[in-house]
Amino acid sequence: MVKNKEMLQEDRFLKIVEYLKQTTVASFAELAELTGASVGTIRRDLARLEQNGMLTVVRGGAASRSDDLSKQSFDMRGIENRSEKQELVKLLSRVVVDGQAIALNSGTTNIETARFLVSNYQRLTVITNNLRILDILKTGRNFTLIVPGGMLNPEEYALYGKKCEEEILSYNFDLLLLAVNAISDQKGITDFRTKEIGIIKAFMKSSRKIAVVADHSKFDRVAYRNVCGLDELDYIFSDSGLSEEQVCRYKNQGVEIFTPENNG
Amino acid sequence: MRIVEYLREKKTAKLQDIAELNGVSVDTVRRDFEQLEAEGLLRRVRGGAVFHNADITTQKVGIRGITHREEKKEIAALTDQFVADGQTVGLTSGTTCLEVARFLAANYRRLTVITNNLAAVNELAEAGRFTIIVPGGVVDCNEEAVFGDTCEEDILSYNIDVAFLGVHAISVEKGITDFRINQVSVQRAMIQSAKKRIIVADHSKFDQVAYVNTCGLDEVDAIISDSGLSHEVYHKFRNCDVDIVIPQP
Repeated sequence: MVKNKEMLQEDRFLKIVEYLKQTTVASFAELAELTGASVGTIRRDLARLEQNGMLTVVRGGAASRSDDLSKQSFDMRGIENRSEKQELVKLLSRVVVDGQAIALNSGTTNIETARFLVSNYQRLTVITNNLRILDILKTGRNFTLIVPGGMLNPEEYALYGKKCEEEILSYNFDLLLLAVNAISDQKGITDFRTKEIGIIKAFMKSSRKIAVVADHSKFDRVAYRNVCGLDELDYIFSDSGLSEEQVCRYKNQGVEIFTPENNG
Repeated sequence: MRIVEYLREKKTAKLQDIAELNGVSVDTVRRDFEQLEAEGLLRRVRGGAVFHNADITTQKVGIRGITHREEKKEIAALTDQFVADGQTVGLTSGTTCLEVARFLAANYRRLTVITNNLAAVNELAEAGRFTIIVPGGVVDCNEEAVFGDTCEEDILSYNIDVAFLGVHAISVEKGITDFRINQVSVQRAMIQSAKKRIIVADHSKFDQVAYVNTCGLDEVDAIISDSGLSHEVYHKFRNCDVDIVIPQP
């Protein structure tokens, strides 16, 4: 492996996590060579990443955590499949128009959605219950931003509660950009975030159109709580990782699917 | 600005790379980064910069330059005589309440905090031990706070043990006044919902009058300020029967 010049910490973190996904276990030396950093730096990086639930430090190196996304905090889930998420949000220009009122629920894909909106739109009214997403939206200088009041869940860094759902219902939105954890042509949209489901349903009720934004890894998955059927969706946006076969199957359920190859 | 576009795309940038891209020296880039950081467009890190919302590990809200920071810390330290573990605390917007939030996060085990101050929410959430409630409404990006009718209604629906109000102007004649028209009604809602109402203001806010009235001094239980408050001003307000708390010399 080529010895690179030392990278920024954030880049190192990304590289380490990606590498561990492939190799499952890696030694300090391997990771040091991968990132061009010293072993001491790698030790500190690993301690940090372990603190955030991204890996486990073991004797001599680190091991990746199992693919149990529900155990990972919101911030760290954002690293997974980031390039796929960035790819799919670009397609949103098909449905988002300046001047609209848009709702964004809590979900790591919507971090990329928010970045996309801020970079490409001048005037939008946006509501979200997720305060990290709100932080990004704040950089859109002319956006009107709305937050539905509620109790903060520190792991998701988002607001929840009955009142929160009622407040959402008091608005009307043109479009909901819905980040989900599991899509299946048999079971529809399902999720493991119990509290978020009430919020999602409130957003869906208040929005004229509903677009799911989900990278290919979310497809053909089922989580233990039902959200809604595919027939309640207007659009699905995904990345080029979705196979032709998958696109066909979901299209047959009557949903309009956008990927870079299809209608994108 | 090429640098900001680059960062928007790549999220991180090394001094070296930008220097090569723009055909300038690393020192020039370093100065550019300083400038852009001051404008809030990026955050400098060792060796380069990150697009200020791309920080995946700490995700801290950017803290703009805080004036009178030491005074605000003094004030925050004095709030402990008003707050007990397990209570419900209200905090309004502004950097003084942000320091109060930091102090509470570091010194209390259990609290319920109701606040429209989004920067304070960040500090309190990191502690991980508190119940944090944010009233809904429109976000004022400059104030980093929520405001509006919904915000006020939400606050009024709670019972708060003690509310700390960060204000901009205190005067003997006019009481508490403010420039931030959006925040005044939120403050009034806090005053209505709270058993104890404590003003937190550094010495520069005294003997000031702004164009919107918040409340009279009689609606306030105490004012906490810093060691910079002059004897003269202190006594002037004490003579009006206002409880002023400042650090012991």
